[in-house]
Amino acid sequence: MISAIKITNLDKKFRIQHHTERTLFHSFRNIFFRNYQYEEFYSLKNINLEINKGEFIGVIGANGAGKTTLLQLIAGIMKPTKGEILSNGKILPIIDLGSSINFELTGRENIFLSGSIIGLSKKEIKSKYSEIIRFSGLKKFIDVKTKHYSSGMKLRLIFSIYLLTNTDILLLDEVFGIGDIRFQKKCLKKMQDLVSEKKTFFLVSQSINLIRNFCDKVIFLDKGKIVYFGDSYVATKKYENLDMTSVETDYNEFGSKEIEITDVKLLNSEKKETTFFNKGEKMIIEIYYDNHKNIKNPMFGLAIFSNNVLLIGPNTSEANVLPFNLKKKGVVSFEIKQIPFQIKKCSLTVAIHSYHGDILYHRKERCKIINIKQNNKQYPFFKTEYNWSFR
Amino acid sequence: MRVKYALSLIREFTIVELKLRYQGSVLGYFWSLLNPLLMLATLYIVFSLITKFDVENYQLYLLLGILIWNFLSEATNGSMISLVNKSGLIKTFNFPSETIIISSCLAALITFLINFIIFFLFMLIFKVTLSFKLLLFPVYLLQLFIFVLGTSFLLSALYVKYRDMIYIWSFVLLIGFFATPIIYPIYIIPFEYLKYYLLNPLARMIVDMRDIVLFNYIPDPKNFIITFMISLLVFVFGYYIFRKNKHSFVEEI
Repeated sequence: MISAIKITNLDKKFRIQHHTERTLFHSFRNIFFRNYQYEEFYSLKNINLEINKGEFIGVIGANGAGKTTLLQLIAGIMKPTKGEILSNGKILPIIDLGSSINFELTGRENIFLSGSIIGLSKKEIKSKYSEIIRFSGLKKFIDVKTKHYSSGMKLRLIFSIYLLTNTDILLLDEVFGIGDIRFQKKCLKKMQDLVSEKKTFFLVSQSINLIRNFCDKVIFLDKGKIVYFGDSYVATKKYENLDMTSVETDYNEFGSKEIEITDVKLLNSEKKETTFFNKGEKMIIEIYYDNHKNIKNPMFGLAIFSNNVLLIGPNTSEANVLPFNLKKKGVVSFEIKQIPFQIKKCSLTVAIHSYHGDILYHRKERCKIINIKQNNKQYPFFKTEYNWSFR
Repeated sequence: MRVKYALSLIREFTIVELKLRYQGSVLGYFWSLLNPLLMLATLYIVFSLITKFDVENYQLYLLLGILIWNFLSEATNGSMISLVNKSGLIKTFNFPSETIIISSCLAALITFLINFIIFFLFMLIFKVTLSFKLLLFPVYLLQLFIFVLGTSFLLSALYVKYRDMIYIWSFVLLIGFFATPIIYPIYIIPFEYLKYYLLNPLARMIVDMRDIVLFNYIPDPKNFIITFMISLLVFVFGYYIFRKNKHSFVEEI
């Protein structure tokens, strides 16, 4: 067997900048005042893979596991930080369906535009032209501007262009799920035909069924590492059983630490420290800080996440609670009168920013796990009472 | 293979840009001509009332200056934001991003050429003597294009990082408009300041281009060598910065 893609010792590192403003003024300020803040993190770490021609590969993993980055690296859109990717054949990345389409142009014009972007000559596009229109079923609308298309029609047009062109390796990033069932089936049928012609597919999807039914092998990524590569059933089972808490307790700290979070405590209605609460019960979150640089008016904030979904994210600036002349050392407490969350486990992130949020002093991510015992009572979110206080 | 791919992309992008620019407006292409003509009318009225420059065919003199300047500002302004405008494409396909800049400049050049045809008709109407010297004009246009392309590469790479480039550049263009002999003839510059004034390569270029087209005069080749070297230098520098930052576009855009 000839391999289609071979990846050895691949790393991809990103810099996250906490200053999102991209202006000259900010870079000057950063150079002179040395508060240029960024942190590095590995989107992919030590990836080794060998994919044979004609294989249908599934890629699964939680959001942020590095799936799209992997496809972008294979496609050559980004350069790896370390390691090597060898590929054999023409690669077509299908990462974002709208990007090669210009909505001001007609369907016909877009076939030529997208065709050239994915590397076809004018002659090749012309020879495939009628086949593309037949496959998409858009004959009647082909001279209509694509901005008047429905989202399903746009999808059909783009997919028809991509699938009918002669490429060896196709990278699909969560592009299923829109479009009607008939067209989806047509595409899957076409993809299977292509696989039997020794074309290679990568399919990123959250649909376990799709992965199980179509993929020969599956890559399961978690936090930038390959946890498992092999049988699709085993991989999807592992993904389904991925322990939520193992993700939640993985905690990180960032920031300049001009004000430092020294401790975070969770108290129940009896002011006892605990991590177990009942739904509807009172919860107090206490943030202990050390104000090293005597910063007068910072913003305290916290966020409660359930498996990467934000439940609440209150802060003192938003609530208009100003600490004025913050003490050297002290406690900020946040009180929820009645816990409204409908989930059993969530994580707490605590942060201190400057008043307008542009400088990060300290952030502790996922520093506490909150366990909530569920009951049948309903506590509507919007009626939940919060309260900030300083001691 | 890669070159062929790039060429076909440049062709497609240029066509699309030209198509989109005038689509959906009633007058279509004529806006791109009407705009400099209106500017000409305004400036002509103002400057023939306030001061009377001793220039033969002042209206044509002014119009050619405006058309050249419009080409420069349209190309650089368009290219500067084009990478960010096409960020979706940069993030999802592996293609040479130079093609975006080149096609932006080409679209502006094509608009200029069409305008120049109209300008040529004006020349016939005002009975300007035509000669074979006009054949030199494309050479001068080419060097201007090289200059503009280099500037565009530089600006677009900077704009990805610093979004305030757009304000800075519009200010530079405004200054440039008055620091270049567009509305006035170069002889109004006092002689002792002339050498500083001529540090602006565009001043030299525009003077030469007018000499060829309107005054039937072959400019000093020494001048051409200077401006051509400057244009090449700008191009090499601009493209070097672009190449150096090219790989980080996808992450920073």
